[in-house]
Amino acid sequence: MKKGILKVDGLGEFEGEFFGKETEVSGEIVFTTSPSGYLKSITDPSYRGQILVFSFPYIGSYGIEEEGESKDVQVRGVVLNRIPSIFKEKFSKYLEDNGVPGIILNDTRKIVDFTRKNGNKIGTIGNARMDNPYENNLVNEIQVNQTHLKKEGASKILLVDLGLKGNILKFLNEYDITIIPYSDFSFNKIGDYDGIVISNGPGDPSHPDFIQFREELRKSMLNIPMLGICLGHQLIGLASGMKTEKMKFGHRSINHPVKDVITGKIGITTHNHGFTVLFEEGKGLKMRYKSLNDGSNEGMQGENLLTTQFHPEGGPGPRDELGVFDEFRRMIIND
Amino acid sequence: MTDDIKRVLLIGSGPIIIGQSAEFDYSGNQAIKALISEGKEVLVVNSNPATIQTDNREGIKPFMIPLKKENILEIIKKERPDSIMGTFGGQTGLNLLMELWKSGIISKYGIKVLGTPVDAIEISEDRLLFKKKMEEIGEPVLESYYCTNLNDVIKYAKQMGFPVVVRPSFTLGGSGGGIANDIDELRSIAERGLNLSQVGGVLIEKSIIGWTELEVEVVRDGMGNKIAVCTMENVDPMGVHTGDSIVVTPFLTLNDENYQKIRSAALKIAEGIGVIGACNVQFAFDNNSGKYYVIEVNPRLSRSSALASKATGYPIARVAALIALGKTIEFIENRVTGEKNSAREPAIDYIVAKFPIWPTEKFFDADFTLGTQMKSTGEVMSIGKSLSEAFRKALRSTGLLTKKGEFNEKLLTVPNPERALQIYLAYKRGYDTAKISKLTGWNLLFVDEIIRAFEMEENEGEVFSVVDTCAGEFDVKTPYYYSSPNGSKIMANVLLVGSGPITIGQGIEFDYSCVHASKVIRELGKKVVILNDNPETVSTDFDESDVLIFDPVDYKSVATIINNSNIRTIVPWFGGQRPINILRKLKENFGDKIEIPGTSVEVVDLLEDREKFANLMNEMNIPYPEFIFSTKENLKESVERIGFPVIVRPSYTISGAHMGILRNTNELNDFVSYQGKYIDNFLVEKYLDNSLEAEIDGVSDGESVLIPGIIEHIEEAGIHSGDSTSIFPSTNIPAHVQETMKEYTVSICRKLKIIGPFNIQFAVKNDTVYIIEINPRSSRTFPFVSKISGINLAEISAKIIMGNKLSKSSIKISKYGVKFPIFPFEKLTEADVVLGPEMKSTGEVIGVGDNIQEAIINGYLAAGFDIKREGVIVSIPRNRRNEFLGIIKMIYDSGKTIYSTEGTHNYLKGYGIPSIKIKKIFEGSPNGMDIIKQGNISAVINILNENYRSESDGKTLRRACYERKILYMSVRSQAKAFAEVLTYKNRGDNIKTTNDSD
Repeated sequence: MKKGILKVDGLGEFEGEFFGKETEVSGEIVFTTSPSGYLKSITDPSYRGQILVFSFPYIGSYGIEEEGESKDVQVRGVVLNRIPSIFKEKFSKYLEDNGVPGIILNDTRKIVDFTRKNGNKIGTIGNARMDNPYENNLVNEIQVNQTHLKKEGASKILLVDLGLKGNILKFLNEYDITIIPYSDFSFNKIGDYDGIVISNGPGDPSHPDFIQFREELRKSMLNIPMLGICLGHQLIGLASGMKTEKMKFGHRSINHPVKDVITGKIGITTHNHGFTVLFEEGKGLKMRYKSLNDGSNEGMQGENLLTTQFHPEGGPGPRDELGVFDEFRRMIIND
Repeated sequence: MTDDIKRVLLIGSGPIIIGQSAEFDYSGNQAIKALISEGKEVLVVNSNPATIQTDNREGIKPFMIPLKKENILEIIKKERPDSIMGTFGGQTGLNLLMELWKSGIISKYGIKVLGTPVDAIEISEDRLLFKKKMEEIGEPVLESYYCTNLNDVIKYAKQMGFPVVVRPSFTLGGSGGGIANDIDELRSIAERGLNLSQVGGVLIEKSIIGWTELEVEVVRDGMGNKIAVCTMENVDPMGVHTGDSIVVTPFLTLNDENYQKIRSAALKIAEGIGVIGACNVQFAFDNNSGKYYVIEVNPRLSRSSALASKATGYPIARVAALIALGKTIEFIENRVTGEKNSAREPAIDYIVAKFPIWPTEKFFDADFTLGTQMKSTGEVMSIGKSLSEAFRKALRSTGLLTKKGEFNEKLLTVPNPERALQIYLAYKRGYDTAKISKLTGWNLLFVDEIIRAFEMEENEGEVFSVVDTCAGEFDVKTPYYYSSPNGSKIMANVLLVGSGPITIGQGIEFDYSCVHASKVIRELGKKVVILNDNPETVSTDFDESDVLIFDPVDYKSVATIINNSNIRTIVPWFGGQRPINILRKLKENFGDKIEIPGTSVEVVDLLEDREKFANLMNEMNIPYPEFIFSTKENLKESVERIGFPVIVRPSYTISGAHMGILRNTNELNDFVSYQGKYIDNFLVEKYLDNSLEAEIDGVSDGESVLIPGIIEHIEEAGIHSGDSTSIFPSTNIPAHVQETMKEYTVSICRKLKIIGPFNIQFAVKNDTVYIIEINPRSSRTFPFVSKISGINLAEISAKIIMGNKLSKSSIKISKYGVKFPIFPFEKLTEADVVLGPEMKSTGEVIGVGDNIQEAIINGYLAAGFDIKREGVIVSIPRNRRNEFLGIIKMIYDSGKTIYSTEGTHNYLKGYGIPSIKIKKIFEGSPNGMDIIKQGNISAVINILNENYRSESDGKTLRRACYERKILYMSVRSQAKAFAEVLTYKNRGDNIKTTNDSD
């Protein structure tokens, strides 16, 4: 057993067992309560810049046979409580191959409790310098695969990839899709498409790098069917003149109830966000979804526009709100 | 929310039987608490006296009546409820609800069915409707065909492909089915099945034996909002009843894709059926292909919902009850976390394992191969940070950890109660885990972790982690705890040691006492910790203690609590024998560091040591049945010293095996030559034949003693008190004898300084009172006596041990109660149904009346016996016929037709009692079995030659009676009570079939 150290700013050091790639990293300490889909979580680009703590203590129970949300491990480090012995070696090798370190320690609950009380703090695995990941625009780390997924006769979708999860594409597979990075997006281009999807992604939506993108979004909004998910939702909120703020410790789980304020119905949804839109009336959009946990905004709608802070595609997590994709389709058909 | 609901009738589940344990008292009681909090009045019907839900409390009117349509109708007429809840009383409750509905009673009296509507229940319960509905919503169900002839069976089997499962329709005890791998096997199984089926039909079904069995607990409100509260994966593959399977939470071997597929299907099914409240959806799943089938839906609270509630901290029954009143999950407060809604799906940061408990030691002759018929009586739940930690605790709770097993490859491949142990033994023998996984059908993960659990070193430095429904995401109000290597200490005042899993002899009655004791001690201002590992109980409901610790009820758990809390006061008196068993070790290891309020540990020791007990009785001049410990070699000499008749048993008895009542030298010789092969050391005890057995349950403060009355057993001494039909207060024991019992009781309590609850058992022969046993703890009959007398013995006991003194009060009991035992014989095929010194009943029902006959009649009804049937079969050995003459005359005079075997027939004829002559079974037809099968028999009186071996004629008859709910009587006192009831009825007295308890 190789010893490893996890440091959490303001809480202290934890000694555990090292696994994965032998390297030192720094990142924001976040936790998820999801028991399943651990490989989906660590390959979710929205986790860039973060060291992910699993509060479910027994991670790895079905091995490493699971389709990821991207082809790389995206988290900076993994912290978990136990790995079943039969999968420990494989899991460790997988992380090593992906260049990511991990720590197995008994005290994950202590970190969760601390984070709940004090908010997300910076931490390190090993002796790395404590760096705030939000100083850089984390979306710029995303390698966008600029492709055109052709589909004869299908509606044409322009998909802005801010750190796209693979599962979102699955629910858009009926469309002809062109994937671009946010820096390539402009109001002038949208005439060639039937709809626009702004994806999820990591980091702070108010980062100055996005100023131009937000302006292009503002011009495009309401003129063409548009779906924004997670970071996409936040950027649309900012584009419409609302503000965002960093949450105390965010929402990261697969069990959160959101209420559709229009239908009155509740759905269980996957969340992975550390920032939230401070919804304001009078900005041309309506509140559509709200969290039943803390009342925060979980989605908005406008003419030709639907956004969700949660992940209707799950990955990992439930798909109770797949109606979101149906609504997007209706917008395209009716437009 | 419907404000027009004011009086809700809630149907309970009746006695504890295999398949319906204490979980329905838990669910029902939680629902009742929710209804009361909404200002509703609740009428509860339940024939099981050992339940919290039948307690008299503000806003609740309990009716301890037989759970029959007619009796419930009486309540409806008298009490006029405006609404009914039938989904909190197990399958019994659900069936009754449907019966009441179908007979038009519900609509006639304008009663509203709360929760899941009846048409939705019908879809779930009717195979064909269910299949149709699933096809309609696009959910896969197993291909199956109903066949009435062999040709069809073969045709459809070929169409589906082998293997196929054959399930005969309507057979007793689920017998006659099987799995066929080819046409030859199919032919023989199907032929037998068609023969055994009472309707001549079998269902053939595509075999999915070996697939993973999965369960999802779903809560859905009237607006269609729904959540999956808990996912559960069965460790034993399909083919083993889920009640008999080891189960883990959450799904562990499914990746997210599959996890969500099953979760989504469960929600869709709840939606499709239209459940309003809670339901359990079961799936068969193949991890290789990702394919699944929907197996069934239970549109009610269930054993699984109780487990799911305890595993996640989400109070399903409470939420379901409020949904039934019309609330939505958005506006139901989560009392554990303090959140304003109950819409968030619970998140856990631990693994939960459930292990069943089987009565293998009580039924040494029963077949405990596990299959589609459930055989376990209870279960334990364990919590750990990893699977092996959870397994380890379950191994402690079930005793498998220390059980000495011998490796037997058959026990590895065939599902049975000790398979977990066999896996470990196989591993020790060098089997590799992959091979074990293949042989058992257990996923490699489970095999590996159970082996680790056996080998794990005990962690002495454990502290406590929390169950909070959210894995730390929110601050919570009332979490509960489990020990783990990391966590924190706890603060409280008193540790109340719970009763653990439901087994025969350690039933729901002890949980009942624990709940009351906890309440009283909390009212005295102390913070109470309850330790229990039984998820089916009221005591583990989140609001029944200040701190709940879900860990094995054993020494290690108690030591961990003492070492990691400020608690110094341990209360062991209410959890039955299990907590008592660890007292000595606690005292040895902690000495004066802990305080055990109440009777001293030395007295407990004294009463459990037979020699010391005998010395005490001698000293106090109280008779007791004489005994000697004897080796095999001098057994004859020992028996002669005591004098016939004697009960001889192994000196450390673990089951009813190897035990005998011996009346003469021949029987003794037989016994020695047969049992001497197996046993070396015996206890020889005087058998008080033809004696009467009685008990006193009471409370002592060391000086004053509270005795509500005498419990009289209908059966003679020699049958375990837990299996006896008990009458309270006694009607047949003369007053002066009762006085003697009370005097003995008072002097023993004073002499031993008994403080708190106690139970003393007596035998009475020729007006001499013998003391058989003294238990300085709460007893099995505490709830029964408390409910009839109106004196809550558990509550008073708790006050006394906490330092209060008994106050003088006069006791006036205005009604009679009869407690009938309920046996598991129809589930445990092969087991002989003969009663003896070893307890075999799983539960009890109560009959209450203004007089004893009325109480007995209600008891018969509650236990399911129909004494209106015309015939009574009588078989009595020659030397005892005189004793029975009067009884049979009474039965005959009441209008019954008597059937009797030749000797009895001729004897009766001689006294002018006509009877129809039948043969003994081996003599051919018509015999008792033929008459029983004709179906018009209310009772069988079959008195055996006194012999320790059960002869086969009796065994067949007894089994047939239990399977057909025919009253079977093997001792005179039972027959006498029966005859008196018939005479009473015959007098035309107005028998009330219902009696409320107030």
